[in-house]
Amino acid sequence: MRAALVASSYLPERGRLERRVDELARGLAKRGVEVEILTQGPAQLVPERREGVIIRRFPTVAGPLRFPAAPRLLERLRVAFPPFDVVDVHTRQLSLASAVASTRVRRLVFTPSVPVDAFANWRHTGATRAIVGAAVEIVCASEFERDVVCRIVPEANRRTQVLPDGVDMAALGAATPFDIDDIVVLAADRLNHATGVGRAIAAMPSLDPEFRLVVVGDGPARARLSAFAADLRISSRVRFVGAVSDEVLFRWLRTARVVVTLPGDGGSGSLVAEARVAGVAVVASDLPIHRQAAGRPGLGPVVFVAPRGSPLDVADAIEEAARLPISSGAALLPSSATSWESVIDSTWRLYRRLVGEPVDSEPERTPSEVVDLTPQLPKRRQSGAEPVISGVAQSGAEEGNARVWWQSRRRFENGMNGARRWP
Amino acid sequence: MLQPDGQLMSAMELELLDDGPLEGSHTAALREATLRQPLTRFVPLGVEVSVVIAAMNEEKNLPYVFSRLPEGLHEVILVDGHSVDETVAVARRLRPDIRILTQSGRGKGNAMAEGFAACTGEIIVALDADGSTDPAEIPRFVSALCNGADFVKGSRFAQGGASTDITRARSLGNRLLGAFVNTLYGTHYTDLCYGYNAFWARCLPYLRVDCDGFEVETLINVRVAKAGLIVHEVPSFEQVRLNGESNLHTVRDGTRVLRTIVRERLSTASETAVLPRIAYRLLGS
Repeated sequence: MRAALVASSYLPERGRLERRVDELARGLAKRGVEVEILTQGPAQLVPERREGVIIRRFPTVAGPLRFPAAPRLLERLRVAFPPFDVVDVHTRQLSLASAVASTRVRRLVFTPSVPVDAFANWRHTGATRAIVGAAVEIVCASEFERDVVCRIVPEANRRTQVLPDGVDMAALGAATPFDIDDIVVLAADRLNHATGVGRAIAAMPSLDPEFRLVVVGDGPARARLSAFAADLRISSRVRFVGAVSDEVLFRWLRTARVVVTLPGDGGSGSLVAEARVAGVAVVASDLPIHRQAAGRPGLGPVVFVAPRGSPLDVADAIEEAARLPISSGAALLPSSATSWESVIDSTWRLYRRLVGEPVDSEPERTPSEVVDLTPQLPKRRQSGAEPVISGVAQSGAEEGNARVWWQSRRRFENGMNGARRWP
Repeated sequence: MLQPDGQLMSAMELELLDDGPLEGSHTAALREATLRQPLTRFVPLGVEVSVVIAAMNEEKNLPYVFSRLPEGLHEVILVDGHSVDETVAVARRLRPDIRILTQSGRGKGNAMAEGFAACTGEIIVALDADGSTDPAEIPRFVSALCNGADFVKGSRFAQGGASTDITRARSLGNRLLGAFVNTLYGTHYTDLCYGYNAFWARCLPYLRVDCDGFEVETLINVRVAKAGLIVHEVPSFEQVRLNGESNLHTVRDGTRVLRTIVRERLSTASETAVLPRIAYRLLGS
């Protein structure tokens, strides 16, 4: 079987989309699928080869012209011989998905990525309908994404399935924390205006000096965010480590006391899921996709904040999350958490079904996927005190240890302000 | 005499309205200000409000300002800018519990910075000592803060606000500078250069008042916008300065305000942006 994974961007840029494409490509190659990753980027003379996967990059710029989708990428889809059995489009850009759909490839799988809200925008509804209409299967990363897609194109309901991002629990379990005494707050995302890293930085002046923010990831807004931290006089407390490998990211996840993910919209639940599996408290924007991730199994509690609220509320939420105790003595429960292996298996079965090959039944998960992180949790987390501020009980996906932090709580539940005195 | 909200006016207010130290148009302005504002005399319970008043040679205006302060305040701090009249003595006589600081430097910005640093309340309100800003509006500011705002700024140009003090030139300059800030920072300020503001004390690290002059309000408004704090505007009435001369000079201070806006914008330019960094260094020097 030949499969093309079309990605709007790919490594070394790191984000949810890039990680998913990378995991899928390597996993499918191990299962005997002939995989090509077709992505946009600087042109290269010779295609890369990595773990049995061919990576081709095509420029979107030709002289003074800038194209919404790389013309040579589309040409490759048209003229590849033998033709691809399955073309799976992972994209943040509707323009690329539209262009691929217009090439009339044989079996188009559409995997919309963040921000899914853009697909629901009235200006993009027509394009979304065209893409979904051309796709034989739509793979969403969350129930929320599926709801959005099915709301726009109701007839796609039968062709839409949910395959959430996986969590590499073995690598998480093997990662060793960095030796840092301060309270580490981790923000890991692409650095652009939409991911809300700026809000995490803006919250730092309101937190005690022992809180340190570690920003993992890179992007066009890195210089601006760095200047923003300097302008707030907190450069010494904010560390930009850039784009790192998964192993280093997992080490930071194991080091952090609190993980923050604060996009104003869109977003993905993958960081929330990984942090919870690692037993780290999470402060997340109150978005449906985060709520669903918080409903999945894991140890780490989740504190929600308003998606476009005050940095003071973010600071309060971080303080509360840092105080929350971590469940001790409990093993992770991967029987219900999604591993990358299960995601790859599901994708492989989907491709085989599409090309008419016999499909095996759902495989059992092996015991080797069960990892107990509790002994490796930093001691300070296990001895955490009881939370000082009680959470607001919520229903549905927020059952368990998720909490909501709205402005009104800070203002009224705790002596109008609930904040520390200044100075 | 009853106020519009049904509360009795104090003897001092009645004196001021009838034949106090005010005369002519001042009395009319005060009467208008008093009658148009349905104000409460109390700040909300359970919140500690500190009031910072920067004053220099304001002995004649302090009686009116202090008479209009609402009850239930946590503290009142008067920052004296080396007055040569009886400002400090009058303040102590009118309000024995007042905290008086003598500013170490010069200018309104410096006075405000030192006053803010000395506050121990949860909410800080900054107002002028010349009587142009009405302290009786403080509960309105505090209510906005308790309803979710991080920073509340008074506005003479919002619906319900007005000014009998501002000249056409200052009004025009204020609007132009306000539009400039709104364009640069995506804000919706209707009044950039008004000195009547209130905020949670936790916002102080974001303000970092480090200027001396009348550009302090602009500096605060811009830094609040840059930090992404939740800003609300409440209408406010500015009346004519009761006594004395204003130290504000339209062109000189307008230029300083403009320079502050540009400098603050350039301060967040990335290290790789050479020209903005050079311009920032030049403006900062």
